[in-house]
Amino acid sequence: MIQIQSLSKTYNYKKPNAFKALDNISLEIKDGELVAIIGRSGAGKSTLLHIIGCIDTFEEGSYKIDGEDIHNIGDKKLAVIRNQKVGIVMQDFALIEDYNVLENVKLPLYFAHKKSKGAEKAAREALEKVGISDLAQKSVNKLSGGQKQRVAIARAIVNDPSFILADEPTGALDTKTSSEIMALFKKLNSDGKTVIIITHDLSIADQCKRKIEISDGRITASA
Amino acid sequence: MIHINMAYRIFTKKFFFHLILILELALTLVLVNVFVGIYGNSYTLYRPYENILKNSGVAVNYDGNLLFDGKIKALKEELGEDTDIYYSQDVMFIEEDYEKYGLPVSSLPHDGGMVEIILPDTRILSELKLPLSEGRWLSMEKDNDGCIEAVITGGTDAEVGNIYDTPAGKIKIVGILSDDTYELPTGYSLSFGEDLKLTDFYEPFNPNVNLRGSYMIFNRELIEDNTGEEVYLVTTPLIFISYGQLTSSEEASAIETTVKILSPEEEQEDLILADFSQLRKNTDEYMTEFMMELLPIAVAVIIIAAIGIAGTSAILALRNLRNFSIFYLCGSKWSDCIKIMLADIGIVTAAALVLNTAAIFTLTALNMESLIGMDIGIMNVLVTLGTVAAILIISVILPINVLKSKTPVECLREEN
Repeated sequence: MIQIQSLSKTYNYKKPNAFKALDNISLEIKDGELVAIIGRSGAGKSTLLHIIGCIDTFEEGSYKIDGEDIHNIGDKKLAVIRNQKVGIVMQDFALIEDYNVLENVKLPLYFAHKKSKGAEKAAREALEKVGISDLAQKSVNKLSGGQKQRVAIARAIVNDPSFILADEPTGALDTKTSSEIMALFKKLNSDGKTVIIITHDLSIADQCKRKIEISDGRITASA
Repeated sequence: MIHINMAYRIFTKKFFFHLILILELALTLVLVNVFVGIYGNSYTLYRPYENILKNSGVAVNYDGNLLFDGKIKALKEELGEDTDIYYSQDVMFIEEDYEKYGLPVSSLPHDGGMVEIILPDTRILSELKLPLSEGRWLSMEKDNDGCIEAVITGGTDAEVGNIYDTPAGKIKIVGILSDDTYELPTGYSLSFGEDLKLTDFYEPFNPNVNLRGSYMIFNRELIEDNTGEEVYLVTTPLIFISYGQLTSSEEASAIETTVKILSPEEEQEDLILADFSQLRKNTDEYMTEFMMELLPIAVAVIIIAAIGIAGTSAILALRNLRNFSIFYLCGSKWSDCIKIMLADIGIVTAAALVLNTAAIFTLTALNMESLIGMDIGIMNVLVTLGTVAAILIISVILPINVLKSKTPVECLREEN
C-alpha cells in the first residue's frame, strides 16, 4: 500500500528560484488498485510518480510504501525498493539503445544480483508475458514504439514488483498500440499488481478504476 | 563484481570510444617509458662504479704509466685488508699475452689486425652494459654448452653465434657492440680536475674511425676457470682505491702517499687523486642536469595525455549519463554508477598497461632498446605505475563532477 501524507516537493529548494511542484499532497493507494493520475502538463503528475517510484526526493511530509517510511532512508534501501518493489515505465521507454531486448529486460536482475541462468529464465518469462518473446535478441533501436514499450513493461515486471508505475506510457504511441499497452496494464492489474498510470489522455484514464486529478501541485479530485 | 560486469558491457558497446582512450594512454606510457629508458641508459655508464663510489676513496690516473697486476697486488698488500682496488680493465694486446693464456690470435676474430681482448674487473663487468647493434649482452656464466660468452665491436669478421675454439675454451659471440659505443674507462687523455665526473672516463669509440681497432669483452674468471691459471696482465692506468673503514684523516693521507709511490718519482708531485665524494657529487649533478633536460618533455607529454584522456572520459561519462539514469531506475545507486564508471576507466587502464608492456617487450625482443639507447629496468615499472596513478586521478575528476552535477531524474528528464 502507498500512503502519502502532506507531501510537498520544491525544486531549487531554499534557492531564490525555488518552485513548488507538489503542495501538501495526501494520498492512499491500496494494493491491487488501477489508478490514473491525470492533470495538465506541468501540474506535478510526473514529479509525484518520481517520488512514488523513489527516483526523486521530497522535503516535507511523509511517504510510506508497504508501511515503510522512505523519507530519509539510505540510498541502499531506496535502491532495493526501486529494484524489488516498484517497476517504472517511462513515456520514452528509457531503454538502453546499445543493448538488445533481453539485455534490457535483465537489467534489474543484475542489480538484484540474480545468477545468470535464473536471470535469463526470468527475463524470457517477462517477455513471454508481454508477448514479444520472439524479439529477445533484437536490438532495441530496431523496434517499433509499441514493441519498445512492451520491452519497458517486461523490464518493469521482471523482478515481480508489487507496484507498476507508468509515466504517460501511451504518449508516444498510436491509438491501436495504446489500446494494446493499456490491455497489458489491465492484465497485470488483474494478476494482482497495483498499477499507477500518469496520463493526460482521458480515454486512458477512463479505463482505470480510480482517477486522481492534480492541478498546480495539489490534488483537486479523487474518485 | 557487478560494477566490473556493467563496466565491461559499456566497454564493449562503446568500443571505438574506449579504443581511442586505450591507444592514447598506451602511447603516453610507451613515450614515458622511452624517456625513462633513455635516462636509465645514461645511468648505465655510472652503474658499474656506483657501488665503488659509495665508499670513501680516490680514483687515480697513472696517465701513461702502465701498471702490472703484480704491482697492484703489492699495493693492496701495502694498504691493508680494508682497502680495495678496482681497476677498470686489463688488456691483452700483445701476441705473447694471447699465447700465454691459451688464446692464440689465429683462433680469434680478426678485423684485419689483431682484436684486443678487454678484461674488466669482474665486479665492474657484472654491472656493465654497453649499447649493442645486434644480439644481447654477455652472461657472467658459461652457457649450457660450456662456452664463454663475449661481445665484440663491429668491423670484424665475427657474427653473433660464432664460436671460437681455443685451448683456453670455447668463446661464443653473443652480441655486437653498436658503432657508436664507448671505450671503457682508461684514464688516457683525462685531465683530473674539480669538475671530473664518472661519465668523462668513457671515451666514444667507433671501430670504423678509431685507430685502436676492435675489441672483445668477456669475463676473465671463466678463462681462469678453464686454464686453472690467474690472468695476470697489463692494467690500464685508471684505478679506484676504496678505503673501507677509515679511522682518521691521517690514515687517508698515509694511503694517498702510498698510492703516489706507484708513480714514477718525477711524477709523484703532480699525481692527482680524485676524491670519490667529489666524483659522486659531479656525477649526480650531471645526471640531475640530464634529467632536467628530459623532464619538461616527459611532463608535457603526460599533461597533454592527461588532458586528452580526461576530456575523452568526460565525454564518455556525458554519453553514459542517460544509461546511468536507467541503471538508477532499475535499482542501482547513483554512487554505483560512479563505481561503474571508475571500473570502466580501470578496464581502459588495464588494457593500456597490457599494450604498453607488450610494446616494451617487443622493443626488448627486437633489441630496439639498444638502438634507441634506452635501458629498461625497475624504474620503468615504478614510473609507469606513477604515471598511471596520476592520469587515473586526473581522468576521473571530470567524469565524477559530471555525475555529481546531475540527479538521475534530471538525466531522465533531459532525454524526455
